[in-house]
Order: sequence, then structure tokens, then C-alpha cells
Amino acid sequence: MLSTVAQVKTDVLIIGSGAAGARAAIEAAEFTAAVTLAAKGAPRRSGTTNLAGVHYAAALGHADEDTPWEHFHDTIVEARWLADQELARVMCLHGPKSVHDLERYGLHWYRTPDGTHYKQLPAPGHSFNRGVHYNGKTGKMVQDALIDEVKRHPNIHLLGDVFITQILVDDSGVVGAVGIHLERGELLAISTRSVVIATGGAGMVFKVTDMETGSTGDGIAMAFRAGADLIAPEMHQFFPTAFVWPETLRGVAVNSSQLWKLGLRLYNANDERFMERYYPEQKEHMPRDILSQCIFREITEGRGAEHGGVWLDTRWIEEFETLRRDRPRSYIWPEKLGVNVQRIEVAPTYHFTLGGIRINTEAETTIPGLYAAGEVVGATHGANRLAGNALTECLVFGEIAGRNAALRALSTTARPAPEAMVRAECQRLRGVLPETGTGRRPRAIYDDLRHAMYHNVGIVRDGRRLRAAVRRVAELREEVRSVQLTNTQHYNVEWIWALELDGMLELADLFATGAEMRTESRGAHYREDYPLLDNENWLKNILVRREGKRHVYWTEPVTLPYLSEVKMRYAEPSR
Amino acid sequence: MINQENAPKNGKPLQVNVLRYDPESGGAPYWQTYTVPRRRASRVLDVLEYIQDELDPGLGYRRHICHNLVCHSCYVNVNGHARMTCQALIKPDVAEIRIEPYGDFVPIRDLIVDYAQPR
Repeated sequence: MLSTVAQVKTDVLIIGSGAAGARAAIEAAEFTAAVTLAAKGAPRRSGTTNLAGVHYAAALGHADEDTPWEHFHDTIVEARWLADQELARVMCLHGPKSVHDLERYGLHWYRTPDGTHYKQLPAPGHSFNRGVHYNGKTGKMVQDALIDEVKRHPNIHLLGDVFITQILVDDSGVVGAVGIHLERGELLAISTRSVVIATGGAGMVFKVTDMETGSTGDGIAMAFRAGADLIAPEMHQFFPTAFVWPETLRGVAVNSSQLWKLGLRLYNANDERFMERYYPEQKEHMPRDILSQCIFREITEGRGAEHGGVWLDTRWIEEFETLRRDRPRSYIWPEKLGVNVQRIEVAPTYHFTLGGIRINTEAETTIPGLYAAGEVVGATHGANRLAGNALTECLVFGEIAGRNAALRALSTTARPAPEAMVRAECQRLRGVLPETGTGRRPRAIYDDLRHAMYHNVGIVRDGRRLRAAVRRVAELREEVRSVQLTNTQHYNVEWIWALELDGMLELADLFATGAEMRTESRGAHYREDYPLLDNENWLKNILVRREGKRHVYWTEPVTLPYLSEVKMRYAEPSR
Repeated sequence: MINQENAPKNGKPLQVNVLRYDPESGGAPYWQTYTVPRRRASRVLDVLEYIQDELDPGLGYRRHICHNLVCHSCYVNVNGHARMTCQALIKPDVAEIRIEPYGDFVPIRDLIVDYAQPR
């Protein structure tokens, strides 16, 4: 097993072919670097970018008096002041330029009828109409435009079906990487001085999610193993409204955030418009975190409907019939599966990994030569992300990471990936993929982990369940050592699950431990035993790094260089 | 699944014939038949996931997919027609289906094709 090692040499290795990775590849290639763009699945057909809904948030000001600074202000306030203001500022100021970049790559955004301006849609939390879009296909169109552009660059080598498992690091920083070529079942030893991690979020760590099924947080786990700092491991966003029935659609988000602005109403099983009780003034017009918690509370307190959700009523939306016909995948397809789209039973679904790898505004991690961009990064959105900010983050930081990775590669001397490090990784992989395991199959352990995380580290948390989750994760980690695998070399699906599981178990422990540390409630992090917001003690971020086998946690106060007067937008219970 | 309600709960199981191919043995592709309970057989996607999870973890079928009509990585031939498995509904009165790899690309193993290599 994995006995042959193929050598690959590249200036820049980019891991992940979604929006952030593809954008980074284009930028690095324009700086003349030889780029290897590695994807775990089939490029263009894999990754969560395809699934992005409608909005691409950029303050172009085509619909109103919006400015990038207003966008920044909204982002910080809705992040409950936990966002890294430097990162959020860069995202918002560069956002409009990235819209034009995409247009240059071939994405013809929706425009006003006279063709002079971009159409910009409203979304909750945004003070202005900020969402440029391509109707219900925005994510797909962004992904297609980027891959089309990638293919126009002869110096980008697209490498699909390659699972990168380790970044090789010595005192000077990145010196290479190791991966598995899934199709051939052989190891790749990659010589490179610059690596960009753009592998997206970790939605699959939780049982119910609207992410693509490859979103297992491999890149976050890999950066952590390599010794990089992670930030905000406790922060995970749930999208408030996703199908709960039929089973096959469970977790798929009911698009889109726009519905809130248009007059969507939520009812519990008693036909009560329950948001009136929580927020008499704003009602359903609330950000994702608060809506998720209110819906979850209705369900857990016994006011849920037959499949454990609440009712999303679209009959109050005047434009709904137009929307329905405009977005067949969102509404007409579910109808074919038996859903009544006038009244949809919904519950929250895991949507976005807010925490992740710590970077600065140059997309540099704490390891020289290691860059990160997109959802894999933490702290850009603090404790709650606004609709449309995810794609913007990918494009903006993808560009920055690609440029800096290229500049480093072009100004350092490449050398072969150190053999001893490659051998050590082979050794580790033999442990992750045991040849003679007799235990359970990886898929069963995978399902157990996702179940434990969703129920104990989900929307509503408390110390007891968080500690139970940590214990459960430790048990599963023990069990995974003797996992039983199919004995094939070429595209072994069970290898993929075992490799993903290895990273997911590492991350699950960090997620639960981080959540236990934060003894307050803020944004997406809600603790039943600490239900109040606590600006006095918790206007700070949790960080974690690996030193040898030890996990070292610490906190750092949030710095407020641009907006310093901490004011909450909603009446949240606070200390 | 879909229409779990519509699917007969105790209906006759679905016969699923899958064309398999093992690049390691170097042999010709061969047919294998699986039996899938009706309640797990509403879409072709559900059927293949059931086979992989419950019957045969060695079956080659891509699992990094969107489940939701977008990503286009789940293509197979169902009864001779190219279909996305997430979009291919199975009628309750169908007794048997035939699944082969998507014909436009070079096969890697079983139902997995190399989307970078058109045939």
C-alpha cells in the first residue's frame, strides 16, 4: 500500500479548487509562478462554492448610496464585534474590485434593465442593497468563471482527485507537501516553498449541513498539524431555514436570505408567529444567529411541527411566484419531491465555519510560506457572518494569497521535499490507513462523530454536553486506529473517509474545547449555562496551536483600530 | 427519501445491476446485482449511497457531491441514459435498474470516471 512515491515540483501549491483556491491560482500564475492546483474531487464539480446561494456582497453603490465603509461597519456590528477588523476591512474595501475581476473572467452579473448598473439585492444585516448576483446560480457561475480562467493559464497545472495530507515545515517555513493521488493510489512528494490552503469549511463534522460532502475541514486540520495558529474554534454558523423533510433534502438550505427582506413569516406548530414574541419590532427580520436560536428553541420546547421543524410561510411574499419560477432548483425541484413551497417545514442547518486558520491581511499564516484564504480562515466574520460575505472573502483573500505565495516562490530557491519528512508522513499514513484493521468501517465512526457533534456542540450548548463531546471524540479517536478498510489501490473511497476522519476528529476536539472555554453567549455561540453576552470579559478571541503533542489554548483581546465604540445592534441579553 | 411516504414501505426490493470495473485485476467490466429495500430507493443517489454504506464499501462511486443538482459530479448512465443520480427519481413500480459509468469520460474504477479525460 502506498509504496510508490511520485515526485512533483512546483513554485506554488494551492490546495482546494473552489473560489478562493482558483482565484489564488490565477493571481499566482499572472505573476509567472508555476502553479499546481490540487483538488480532492473533480475540479469545477467539487467544493462548496457551487452551492453558494444568491448574494455576492460588494458595496458598489449601484442601487443606493452604499460605500465599502458602510459594508465594513455592518460586517463588524453583525459579527458581534468579534471579527478581526483588519481582515474585515480588507474584504469590504476590495469587494467591489473582485466583482469586476469575475466579470473579466466571464461572469455576466445581473444588471439593471438599461444595462448600465449591477443589480444589487437586499439581505438581512446589510444596511444597503449590496448583493450582486446571478439569481439562484451565483455560486455555480462564480466557480465556472474561475475554472474557465484557470484553464486559460498554461502555467496552472490542475490536479484533480488528489488528497493533500501534510504540509512539510522546517525552521525556514514551508519546504514541501505530501499527498495521495487517489486515482493511482500512489504518494506524491511535492517540492514547493509556497502553499495556499483553500480547502473551505468543516460542515461535515456536524450531522446536518448544507455544505458539499467534501467539506471536512482537512485544510484546517493540516495547518494545525503543521503548527499554525487557529482562531475562534468555537464559532460555527447555522443557517436558520433548511428543509427537514423529505429526508433526502434534510439540511439543504431554503434559499435565500432575500426572503426575509421580502416578508417571509415563521410559525410554530400552534400557528403562532413566534418571532413576534422574541422580537416584536423586527420579527423575522433578524440575523442568522438569532433566528437559528429562536427556531431551535421553539423546536426543543415542544412547539415544533411533525418532522421537528417550524413552518416557513411564503404566502406573504408578493414576489414569490416570480422567485419560484426564476429559481426552479430552490422551489420547483422540492415540489417534485413532495414539498409544499407555500408552507415549508424548516430547521437550522450547519452553514459556515466561522473559525479557522489565523492569517494577517497578507493572507500569511503564522508559518512562513503557508498562506490561507476563504472559509478555511478564522475571525474574518467574528461570531456571525452576513449573507454574501463568504464569496467576497474567497475572491479577495484568494487574490492576496496567490500574489504573496508567488512572490515568495519566485524569490526563494526551491529544493526537493526533504526525504526524511516524506518518510515520516508515509509512516503516519500507514497508521491512518491500517492494512489489517478489524474494527468498524470508517463510515460508521464518521456518522457517530457527526451525530455527537451536532447534538452536543450545535446551536445550543452547555458545559456538561461539551465535556461529553470531548470524551466521545477521544473514544472515537481510539477506535479509529483499528478501522477496517477495503484493500484496493485505485480510488479507494474508504481511504478518503479514513483520511477525512483523522482530521475531523482532531478538529472536533478543538471545536468542543473552544466552546467550553467561552463562558458567555455571542452570535453563533449560545451557551444555555451562560446565556448572557459579556463584553467585559469576552471581547476576545480564543486561539489554539499544537506544540509537540500538546494543544496550547490562549485568548487575545479583540483590537478595535477602526470602529471602537462597541454598540450592539439588537437587544441581546447581556451582563 | 423523497417520497418515503409514497414509496411502498414493504414493497418488493429493487434489483440494482451495477457495471463494475477493477483497474487492478485488469479484467473486463462485469455486472453485479444488489438488492435495495424500497424505502431506500427513491433516487438513484440514495440507492448507490445505500449500497456503499450498507452492502459493499468497496463499490467505487464518488461521494464528494452536492446532493442538490448543482455540482454535476454524480453522473452515471441509468438504463442507458446519462443522468445525475441526485435528479434520477425511481418510480415505485420499477423492479430493476441498470447503472453503468458515465460514458463520456474514461473510467477509473466502477462508477467513478475521470472528468479530466473525455473519451
